[in-house]
Amino acid sequence: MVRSRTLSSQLADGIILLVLVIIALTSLYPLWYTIALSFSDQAAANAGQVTIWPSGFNLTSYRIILDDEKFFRAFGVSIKRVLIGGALNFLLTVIMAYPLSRSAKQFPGRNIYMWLLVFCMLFSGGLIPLYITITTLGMQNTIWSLVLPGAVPIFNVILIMNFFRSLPKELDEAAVVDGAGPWYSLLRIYIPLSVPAMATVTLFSIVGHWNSFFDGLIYMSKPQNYPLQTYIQQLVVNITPDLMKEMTTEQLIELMKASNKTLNAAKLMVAMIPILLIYPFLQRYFVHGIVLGSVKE
Amino acid sequence: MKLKWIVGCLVVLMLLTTACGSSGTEPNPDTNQTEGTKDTEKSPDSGKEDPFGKYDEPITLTLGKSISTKNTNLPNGDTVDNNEYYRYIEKKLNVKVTHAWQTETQEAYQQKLSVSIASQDLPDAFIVNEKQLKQLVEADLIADLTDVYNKYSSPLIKSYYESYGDRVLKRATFDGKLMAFPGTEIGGQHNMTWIRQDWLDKLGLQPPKTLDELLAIAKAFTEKDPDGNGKNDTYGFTGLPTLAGWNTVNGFDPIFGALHAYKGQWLKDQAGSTVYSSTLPEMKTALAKLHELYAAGIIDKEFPVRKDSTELIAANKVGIVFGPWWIPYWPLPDSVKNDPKAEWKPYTAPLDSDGKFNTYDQNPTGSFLVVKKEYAHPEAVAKVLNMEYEGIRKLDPAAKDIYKDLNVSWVIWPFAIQIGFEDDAYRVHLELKAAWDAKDPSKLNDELKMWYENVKKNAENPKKDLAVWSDSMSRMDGSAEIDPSKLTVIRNVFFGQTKTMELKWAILEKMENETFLKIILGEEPVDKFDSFVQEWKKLGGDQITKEVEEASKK
Repeated sequence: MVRSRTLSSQLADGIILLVLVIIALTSLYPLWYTIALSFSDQAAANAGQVTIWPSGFNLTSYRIILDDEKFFRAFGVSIKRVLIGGALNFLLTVIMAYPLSRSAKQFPGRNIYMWLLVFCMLFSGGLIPLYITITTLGMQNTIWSLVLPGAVPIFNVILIMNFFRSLPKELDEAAVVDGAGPWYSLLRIYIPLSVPAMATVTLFSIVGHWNSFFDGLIYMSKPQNYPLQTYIQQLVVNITPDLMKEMTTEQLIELMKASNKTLNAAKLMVAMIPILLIYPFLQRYFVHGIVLGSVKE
Repeated sequence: MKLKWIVGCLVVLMLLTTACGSSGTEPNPDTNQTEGTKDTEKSPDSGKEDPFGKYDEPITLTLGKSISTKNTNLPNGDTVDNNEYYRYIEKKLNVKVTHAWQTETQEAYQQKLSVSIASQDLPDAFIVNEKQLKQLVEADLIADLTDVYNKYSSPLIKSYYESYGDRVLKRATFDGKLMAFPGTEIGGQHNMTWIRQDWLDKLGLQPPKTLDELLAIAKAFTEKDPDGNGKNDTYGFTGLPTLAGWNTVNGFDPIFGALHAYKGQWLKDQAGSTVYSSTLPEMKTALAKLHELYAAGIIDKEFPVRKDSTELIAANKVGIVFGPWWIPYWPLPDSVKNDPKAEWKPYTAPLDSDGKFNTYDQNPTGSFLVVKKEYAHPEAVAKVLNMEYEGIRKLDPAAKDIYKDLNVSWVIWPFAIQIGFEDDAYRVHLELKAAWDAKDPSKLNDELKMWYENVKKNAENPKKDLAVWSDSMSRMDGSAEIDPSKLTVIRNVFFGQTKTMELKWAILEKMENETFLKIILGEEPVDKFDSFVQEWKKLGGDQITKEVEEASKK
């Protein structure tokens, strides 16, 4: 490729580079700020003295976390949730997407199922009916209230379905000629060929399960059953004038004693670690998977 | 085709709504509740109309509660829902208190409660705010407690409520029926003026009496480099975007008060008619003054956009803080930690031209303990509350020694609702002060004894331990300034919301805050205030004033 390196094009490149670097830095800064905060001294943090480097470097916050039994119990609940929820999501996505990827001739009821899925994706019963359903079914305070309500991630099903459809039909036909049944061709042909898409949706559901906090709050009646994000969400409170107006003095004093910027920052960091560990392994499939799944033949 | 699709959707939606409607009215599958109902049939209440009478058969009481499980100081594996207090109540009353659910914070409690109310899956007793109380009364979900209060509440609880006249109970009364046990806000939470004594000394200044003296000090703090770092980086004080209000550190209330201006209060004018204080001419004068100060750089330039208004205090960039007596608990410790030389002192200042410190009264109640309508033993709630307060106030000899010397907070008792005399904070201070002056802590209760020890420790080793410093400063120095005789309290005629307020108050309040802020920042001339008042009246203010007048006459 021949390129003329005129001054103006170099200048343009420089400007583009500069803009990109600035964007990258602004995206990274909040994360870096949290790290710096987590290593800072409490009083310095409250005084807003932390900018780029930790002010009054210390490890107190992390030491407190390591002693915090509730944090690790919540961590355990979250891990359990990701494992059970992620596995359920994966299983149900695949066995739902495969039949739906067949043509209406092969699977006569296909369009009805499809419409049901789309309907459920667009409309939900709302929070209160969902809450009543879950409590009436006796799932309150169990891990099932966290993993069953969203067990079929419809968006993922459609993604995988489209991916299955994009695979050459000839492969499937050849397998059928060789005597493969639906299970065999799903397990031996479709799944091995769709690793990128599978990795993508798995990442979606893991991150989704790891990050959600609201269901933990409403379905769990005791803080010891909270998943990690619910636990953390309750600790990271901003003291706003509106909040102050609604509280009694005693509550306020309690809250102020508990409010701890550096400790909260450290908790956020620790909670981020599992996702940071998983991302690099799945990321190489990530972009690939989304693009492939999105285009139909 | 398209029409069919829409019709189909509507049908499904209707089915869904009716389905939830019916499930809501069906009996609740909650086991605790069914147990409770069964008990009534077979256990007649032997202790008839006795506020402390014990039930023959055990009954249960489930709560929804916001309680932090951190640093509770509970010994021997006791938890917030299984501890000596709960066991004591069970032993004395035969009422087993359990938690239907609990949350760590008030914020989470509100979310959880909203879901609970909407799905009608309520605990037997729980604490709500005024808006939720009205909703619950309208939806007919909570029990009428009139008889329960009259027959079962203890003389102590009644005396607390009666000390407020009808200002508290009236708020929980609907059509003559008492629907809740209101909490009482303890008075004396107004903003006073805290000043850095070491800065005053350094610049050779005297503590202020009048507004002009205070502003001269603020000016000196801004310009004369009181922290001695050679940089012009200090301010007199900072503020809040909402300017003023109860329980707001950095609200400008003392300055307003000295000019007879009050923000956001419903008062009676000299002619006896109801007025909204933010629209009075005194407010204009006060805003002009604040604008002057802001333009001179005495007020923190960034106060309207600051997310955390206490940042400058912790960073020791301001020498004056407007805050209640308890700010040595927060945020002042951060200031002292960052600069151990910081010496904060509270003043009941600035005074007006007649030498009075003006403030306004606070909403006397904001939280309400309610009982689910279906709960079979509403009087059990009153009894537990009676027991609880005999315990909290150390009047019950048998409960006095529970968790002795362990510094367990009273909120561990079942109902974390504060009920007491309006001047409790000051009464406690007097008791502590009397013991300190006599050097005899023997008559104090545990909590006060601990404060006494801390005052002593801080007197021996000032600021060595900041938690000790906080107790000492708040309970001795800060609360000395809430002496009612030092204050002129302007009484509100009304708290709460009227009908039109529900629709329009948010807009009016926003307009008020924005206009006032713009006037202070100088983006609008001070005379903009007059057109604000006109517009405020037109946009619903007049109507609301009328409603408030009517409501206050009731």
